[in-house]
Amino acid sequence: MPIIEAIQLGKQYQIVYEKGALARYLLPKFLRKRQFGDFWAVKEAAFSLEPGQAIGVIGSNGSGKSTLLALCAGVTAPTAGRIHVHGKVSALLTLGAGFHPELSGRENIYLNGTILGLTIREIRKKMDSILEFSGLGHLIEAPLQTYSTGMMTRLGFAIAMHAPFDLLVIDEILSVGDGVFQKRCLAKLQEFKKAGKAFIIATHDLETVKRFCEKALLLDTGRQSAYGNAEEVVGIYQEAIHGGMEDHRLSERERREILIALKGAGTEGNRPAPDEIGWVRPRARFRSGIGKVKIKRVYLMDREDLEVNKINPGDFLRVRVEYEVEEEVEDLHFGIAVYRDDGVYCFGPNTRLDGLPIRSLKPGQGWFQLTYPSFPLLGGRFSFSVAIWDREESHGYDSHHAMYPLRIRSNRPEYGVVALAHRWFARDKELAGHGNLLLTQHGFQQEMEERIGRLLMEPTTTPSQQGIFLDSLKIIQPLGEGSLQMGDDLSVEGVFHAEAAVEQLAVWVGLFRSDGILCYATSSFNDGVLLELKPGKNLWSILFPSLPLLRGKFRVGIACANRQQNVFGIIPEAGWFQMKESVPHHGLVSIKREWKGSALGRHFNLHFPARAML
Amino acid sequence: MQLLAALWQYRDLIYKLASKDIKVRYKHPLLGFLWALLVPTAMIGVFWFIFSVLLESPVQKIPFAVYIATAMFPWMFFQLAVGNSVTCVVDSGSLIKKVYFPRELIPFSVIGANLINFVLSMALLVLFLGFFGIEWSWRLVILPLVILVHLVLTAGLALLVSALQVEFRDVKYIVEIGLVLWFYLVPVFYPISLMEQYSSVVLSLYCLNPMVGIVFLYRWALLPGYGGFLPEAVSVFALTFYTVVTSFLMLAVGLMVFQKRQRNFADWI
Repeated sequence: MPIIEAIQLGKQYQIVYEKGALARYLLPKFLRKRQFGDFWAVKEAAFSLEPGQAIGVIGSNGSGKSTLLALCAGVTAPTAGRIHVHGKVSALLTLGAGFHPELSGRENIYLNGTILGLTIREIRKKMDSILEFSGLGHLIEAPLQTYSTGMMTRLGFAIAMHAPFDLLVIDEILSVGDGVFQKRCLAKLQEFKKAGKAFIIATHDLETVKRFCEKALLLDTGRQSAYGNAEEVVGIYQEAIHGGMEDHRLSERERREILIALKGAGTEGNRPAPDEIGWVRPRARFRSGIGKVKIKRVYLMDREDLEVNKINPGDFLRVRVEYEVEEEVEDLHFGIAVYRDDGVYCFGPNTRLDGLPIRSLKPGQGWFQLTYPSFPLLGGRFSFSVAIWDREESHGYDSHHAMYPLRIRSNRPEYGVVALAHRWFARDKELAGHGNLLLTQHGFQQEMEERIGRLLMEPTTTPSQQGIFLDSLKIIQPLGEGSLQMGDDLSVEGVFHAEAAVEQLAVWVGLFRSDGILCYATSSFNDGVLLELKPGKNLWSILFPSLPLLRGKFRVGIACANRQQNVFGIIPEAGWFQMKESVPHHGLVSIKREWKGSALGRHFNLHFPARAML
Repeated sequence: MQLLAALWQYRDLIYKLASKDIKVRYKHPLLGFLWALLVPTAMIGVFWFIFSVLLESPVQKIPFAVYIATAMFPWMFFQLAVGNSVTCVVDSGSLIKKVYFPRELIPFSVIGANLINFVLSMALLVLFLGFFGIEWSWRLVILPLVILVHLVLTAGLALLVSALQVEFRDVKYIVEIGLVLWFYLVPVFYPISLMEQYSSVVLSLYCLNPMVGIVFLYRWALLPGYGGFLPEAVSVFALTFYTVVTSFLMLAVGLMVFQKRQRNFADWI
């Protein structure tokens, strides 16, 4: 007979904000401040476990592991399906449940032991064995608040190992404590397993799952995406993690466009300068920090405050973080960063740079959120990092690195990291869009680079397209060379010299950072603009109003394509420009945003001045 | 029945949780647990000074200080136990989310911790009765039974409010106000006979308030010859009957609400 059996198990949570449940009953709909949404933390999970077996529950953060374990432990009731348990279930969702810091270690053994279902008499009988396992010696008489985290872990585990159970549910607690102690715990668990006890273990340590568990269950955003032999399921999971990288490989079409610049890429070198820390992230999800403040939950949400993991470019996006302060901390800030999964650090604003420093946090619960009214990143897989930093950023209190995935699906024929607003012009006339925008309004114009000459295009597809030359290219920066600031307009003016009339020519423009990252590339064809070249010089230009790129040196690459979108002329290094900024934000592009939070100046909203808005 | 079995299985947990409260409460003060005795003694002293020395008693035959103390201690226990219970489930959130055990134990342990102080106060009061010239009578025997009924009522209300508080965080404030109002509906400072001036409907509604009966029973057990203050329309037997019934009804309602809601405690905290 299985010791535990789950059938179509599901848990649905209702997301309720500040005003709690009473609002739902009492207030009319239009008065309720926030929307209530539902989401399934676990859906249609099904598994069973025989005595002497173990299941490893794996999956990325937020996939529902903890909820599944809470259901198994009977801490929370399922919304759907059933769970049958035959025997005594004990749960180690945390070590030392109910520990009181002011009481001595010994008194806490009684307290925690009775919570785990032991009687006082049993504890008295097992006391020596518990003390031995914990290895605390005479310190057991000292108040718990004098213990180190490691000591508390050992004590908690020692008690748990002496509590009665047939099935033990363990949530990610094996990862605390040093290696020696971990080994001792695993040995003890093996012993229990041989004696016919069953285990359900949630962990990120895939090796432990492979060695200790017979079965494994893979969760993906609440759904059971694989269940069965531990080795196999771990294999599927590992593939899925690394598969994410494969997935971002460029499509044939995208590759072709990127050729625009990769060919003979910039002379500036492909490596980021040494002082540009954090441009590229290590490809790992991890959690680090010195404690004191703990990030409890992170949600990526849409306009309706429902959790999302896929959006389209330009959609509303909100990152909400709930944290718990364990002891008072001073002078800190919150940061939320987004990376593309091939390592591009897209944007990482923090509250300090945005002018919202936090002087101190008192023990208790808190939250903050970062809202992007329109999240402009282009298609790909991204991960969010959330961190609570001290002033120097030398050691974070808690830092969840690249743990919150987001997929952006884009059907638009635009490439790169971020969609940039732009307008096309020919002979000072806007070709598509709204009104006339004079190029001369930029103040004094300066050429950053003028390329005269006949940069010959590659062998052509049709004879009629031969004989187009780039006569000159100007990159117009309003404040002089090298002084383009974030939020300034950028205009790229090109002159094509044609020997004969050419109909329906599309221009490609790509912006690359000096380390080779394609920020944005688009073609005039995608915007419905095709040039008609007359014999002689033909002026065209593209304007990027309020360019939101962050500091760095950027290269402009251009190319021509015929109506069939066959690219036939490529100038990878048509010009350079430099972005400066007064605030040293991290990443590649600044995005209009709004912070809000329980510790951020009495919940007021912060909109940024126009210059920083984009 | 199932609940009783579970409670029995976890009986040591109630004891440990309650004794933790007590230990933590008296750990730091220099006088430690002595305060549990000193506070009620001092309060009896204050009652004596104010109500027997400074004021004249509106009730005949019984020293006013004793009259107040016999009702004040039970009321304070009730108020503290219910008041502390309101947030106890929410405050134990970390425990509830992490471990399974019968959730009823949480409010019960809060009541238990307050019960120890209360029992000490009552014992002191019984000792001091002689000081006020009141002899012990056979009626003291029913004191434990009165405390039991009192506990049933307190437990019922504590279960109800602590369960509702989890979902509706406004309950705490409603209880705070409710307890202040309730205090004046209990004959602590005035004799029950004061209510005679009102109609019989008001009177019978008043007697349905279980704390009226409980306070009456405490006085009845502690003060020989007490009983003359009851309005004529109300018999001792009827009042006792009402009290027992309403107290157990309260417990039943409290248990039912708590049972129904505890499934989702972990989700709301």
